[in-house]
Amino acid sequence: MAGMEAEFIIVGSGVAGALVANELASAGKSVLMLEAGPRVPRWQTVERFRNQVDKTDFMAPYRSAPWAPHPEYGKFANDYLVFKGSHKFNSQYIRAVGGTTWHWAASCWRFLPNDFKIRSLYGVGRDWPIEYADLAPWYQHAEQELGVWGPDDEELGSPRDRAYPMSPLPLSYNDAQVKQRMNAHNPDWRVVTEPVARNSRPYDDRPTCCGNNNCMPICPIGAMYNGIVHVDKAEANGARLIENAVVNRIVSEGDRIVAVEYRDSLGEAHRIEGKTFILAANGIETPKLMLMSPGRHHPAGVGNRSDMVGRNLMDHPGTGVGFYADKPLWPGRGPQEMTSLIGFRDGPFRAEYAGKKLHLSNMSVVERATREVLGQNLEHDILTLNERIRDRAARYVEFNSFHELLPQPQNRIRPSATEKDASGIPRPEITYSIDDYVKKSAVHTRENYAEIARVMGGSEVTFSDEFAPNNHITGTTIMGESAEDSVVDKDCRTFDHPNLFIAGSSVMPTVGTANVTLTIAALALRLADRLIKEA
Amino acid sequence: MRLLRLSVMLSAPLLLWWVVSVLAQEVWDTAGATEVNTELNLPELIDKGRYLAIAGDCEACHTAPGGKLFAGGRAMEIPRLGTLYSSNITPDINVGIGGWSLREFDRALRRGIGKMGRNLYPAMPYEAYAKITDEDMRALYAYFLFGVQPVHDAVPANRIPKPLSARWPLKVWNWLFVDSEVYQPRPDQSDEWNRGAYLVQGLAHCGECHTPRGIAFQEKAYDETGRGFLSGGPVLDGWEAYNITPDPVSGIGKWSREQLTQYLETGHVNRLAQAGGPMAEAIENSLSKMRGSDIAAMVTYLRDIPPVAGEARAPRHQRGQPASEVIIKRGNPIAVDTHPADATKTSDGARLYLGMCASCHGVDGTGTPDGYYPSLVNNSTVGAESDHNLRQAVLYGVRRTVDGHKKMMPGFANQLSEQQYEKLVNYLRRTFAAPPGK
Amino acid sequence: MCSEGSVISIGRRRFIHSQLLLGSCLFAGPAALVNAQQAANIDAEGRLSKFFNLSRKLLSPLPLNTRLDKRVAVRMLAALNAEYPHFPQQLDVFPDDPGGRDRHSELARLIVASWYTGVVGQQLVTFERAIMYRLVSDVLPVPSYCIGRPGDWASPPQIRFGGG
Repeated sequence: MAGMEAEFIIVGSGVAGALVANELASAGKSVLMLEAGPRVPRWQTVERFRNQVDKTDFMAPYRSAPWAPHPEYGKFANDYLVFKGSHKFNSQYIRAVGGTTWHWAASCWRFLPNDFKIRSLYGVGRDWPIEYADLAPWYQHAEQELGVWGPDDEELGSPRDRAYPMSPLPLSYNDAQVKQRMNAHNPDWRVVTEPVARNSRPYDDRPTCCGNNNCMPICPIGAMYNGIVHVDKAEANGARLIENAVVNRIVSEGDRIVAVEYRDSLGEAHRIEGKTFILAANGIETPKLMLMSPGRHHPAGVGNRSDMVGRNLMDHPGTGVGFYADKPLWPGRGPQEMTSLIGFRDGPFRAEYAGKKLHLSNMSVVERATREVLGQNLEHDILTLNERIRDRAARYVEFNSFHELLPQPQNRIRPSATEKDASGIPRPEITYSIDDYVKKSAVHTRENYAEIARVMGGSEVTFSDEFAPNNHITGTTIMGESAEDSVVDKDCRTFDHPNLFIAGSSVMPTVGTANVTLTIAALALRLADRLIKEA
Repeated sequence: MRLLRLSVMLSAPLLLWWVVSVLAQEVWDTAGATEVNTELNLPELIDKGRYLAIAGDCEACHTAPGGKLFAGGRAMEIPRLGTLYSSNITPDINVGIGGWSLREFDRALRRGIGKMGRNLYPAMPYEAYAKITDEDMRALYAYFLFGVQPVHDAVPANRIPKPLSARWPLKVWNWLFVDSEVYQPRPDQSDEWNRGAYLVQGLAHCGECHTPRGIAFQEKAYDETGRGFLSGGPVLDGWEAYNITPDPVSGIGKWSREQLTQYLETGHVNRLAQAGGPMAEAIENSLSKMRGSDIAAMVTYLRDIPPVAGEARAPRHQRGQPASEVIIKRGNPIAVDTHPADATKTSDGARLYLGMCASCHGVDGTGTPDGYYPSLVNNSTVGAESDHNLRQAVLYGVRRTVDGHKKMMPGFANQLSEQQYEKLVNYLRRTFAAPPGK
Repeated sequence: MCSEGSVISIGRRRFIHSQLLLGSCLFAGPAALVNAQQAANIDAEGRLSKFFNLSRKLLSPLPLNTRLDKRVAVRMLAALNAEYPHFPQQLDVFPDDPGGRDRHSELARLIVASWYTGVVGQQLVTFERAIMYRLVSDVLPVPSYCIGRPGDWASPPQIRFGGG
């Protein structure tokens, strides 16, 4: 391996890249991870968050490094993403060592068996080239690696042959009350305890969740899983990581990838050679990089002889509802999310409109209630003021949803032909629209929101009908049976390049009906296994 | 010349006497019954022995982390000697004690003599176990021979460089320093006091850690009649055992009976002390599983041994002030560690405390209202004379499982550079170990 | 958990002065160059005292186990002075013991909102000691801070303050 930095070069150090790196390093392979962003110590993010004025901005503690911008909105808007199409794909992600799972709520769902074959079953979307049974053992492995607690006494629809690694801590009073009332009213809703990558006991040298209600944007104590866990493990097992390394070109000779080029924080160019390359830079940056790297063998970009790279962009467009329940529930005690309504994930209706998951928020709304009551500018004495704030904070209920957007080639990300970031690299241009399959489902969701509000004796019911992103950026290097219409095969190897693999959400043919991180993790572990067996 | 001959003449009988007694002991040791005492295979005796083994915390050394019960193989670093591995004391015939007689068992526990007459290293606290009554010894034997699952795994060989690995010097050591006999109850003390003394001096072998050591690493006192008994031990594996005599300033004289009881039973008394390291293990494996009456007896005894004053100027659990740097720092920019190698640019201790510790230990260091996450103010580990244990906790954390509930503080060794670590520890000591009334 | 008491130790005076001077620079115009420091000090101390006492009155009754911290008051006042150019003058003419109408004036609301949210304009002055978190502290953690034993969140909330 003369001249090679390492046998395996991994671009991106989020949960996907870090899991692959750790598996390979543990098997004694030489591994180098390249991460565009910086290392960020947990304690700094914690203190930054506590310092910031607008606590609703969960991305503010994760300011972009200038050489590795990620989308920022609101006060620190950087217009990184270029929006085209009828809907803005205004998603968030983090370019830093450890990736976007620094800031999530740790929901760890398996796909349902039917999620893998909605084309065959319902005539929509695409079938995966693998089945639930193929991924099931990897789901189990992923649950072990991340440290997942889940309800062994509830049927969530994804068959399992072993218990969850941990049993759950009790539901918050808020979650338990809502769950009980909703299921009593309509058992078909199926409000269940959510499987999450959160410690109900010391696990993996990380402490038990203490309920500081801060999962997003950062768990202060590491009781929730973050990708940094596997970055640390990979490095302890001998993998190397170079941070502030913005890969801007994949270099090939014929159909083999021979190197990647990156620029460091000072703009200096570097070249890294290796034997096998794994792209794990998320659903926007991975296809962008591939499309920025044309070659004679692949004039439309690395891995893009199918013209599918960057296409089939998906997310879970979400709608919401907020209301004030008929009695105090006190959201804000315990983790930020603990239950979900899964009764609408699957069914014949999926031929007509999207499956989805709904979930109750357990986030504290004290600040929101305070600003609202103060903003009313009524002439309250202090006692009344306090009573009102407490009442609003205690009775507020909020639900949000994930609707399954189908893979559509016209939803795509491309490097912008005109807009560049501070380093001169093209910014991602995203063409996106949300179709009737989702819109129709959202109408059905809204009806159920209204019903939920009725069950909870809700007043001041407010619907958020505008679709919000949920940052499950999928589909842009799609997995499939054929090189004609897919970018990677069922082993996550690109059809066009025998030594180029992709890990992460971009390979997923469908976005499914629940959070995608566990699927990302399962696919990553499965990929690593293949790489070790082949090497 | 005459002086020399005189001194030889005078010392010769002494020398001769010593040689004879050592040889006699040798003969005595290798003789004796070698058959298993099957007549002791009785359920009540086994049950009693099971309890006594918990009181003696045999598991602490004879079960390796993640290993099978009593199968040995636990590595112990002994200062100035090397690495020892504890023996397999399951009743396996080949690699355990399955073929031992009561006499051999008794000899091992009381006098540190192994099967083939080889001396055991005093990592085995035989000088404490010597106090065990014959009746209790029989029960222990019954448990280990007939109540424990045999495990066939051999343990690694000790790693002690020659010539330190010779055993005969131990005979000298024992002769010089070990003087223990079966515990004799004091007629002037209550039954409870005597029971407590018996447990503390014997099975619970508190002195093993908590009594200071002499130049040959021997304990300086084995009971309350010896000077310095339980007045604080050496640093072992990074952890230091404190003065637990009733001295009000250097010891635990200001602890109430209830507090000491709760500490021994759970390892956690908020605004006083939480057990970490080897003491957490002792509580987890042994003390938390002992009968309330036995703990009460130990408490009675411990509160009555002679107080021994040390260097402390204030009780270690009555130090510290609530922190308030958050008032200044909140909303102000963090000094970002752009140059971790440059100490002047490393974030200060107060900020590190807020970002790393305050979530559990409170923005002001007083923990959570229910005391589950303990206060660092009025904390015996934080306020102790030396900061060994504080440093251990910061680097490696604290783990303790009592009644099935797992408590854990993570370690921060991986998250702190050298400079950050020193700044944080200095901050913790400055703030939470400040003299009272500052 | 109590806020600190209102006593400032001698060592903190320098800090207070620097913060107050920051705020009072708008008031002490060019005409006050002579003895500016002394005059500013006297005025700054006086203004802080007024602000602190006024805050206590406007926020009374404070939640259980809560006292206003004078160091927070110093930062709060500096932020208010910086954010609202007319604040110092308005504070000066405001009654020391406001009655009903004054309590609901814009200035009073601003002071109350600042203490409740801990934020003044684009400046966060306090988070952990924001009154809004104090007034729910019988039930809810300040986000990012543990409140007690894992799983205790399952029990019905033990209400100690009125309401909810």
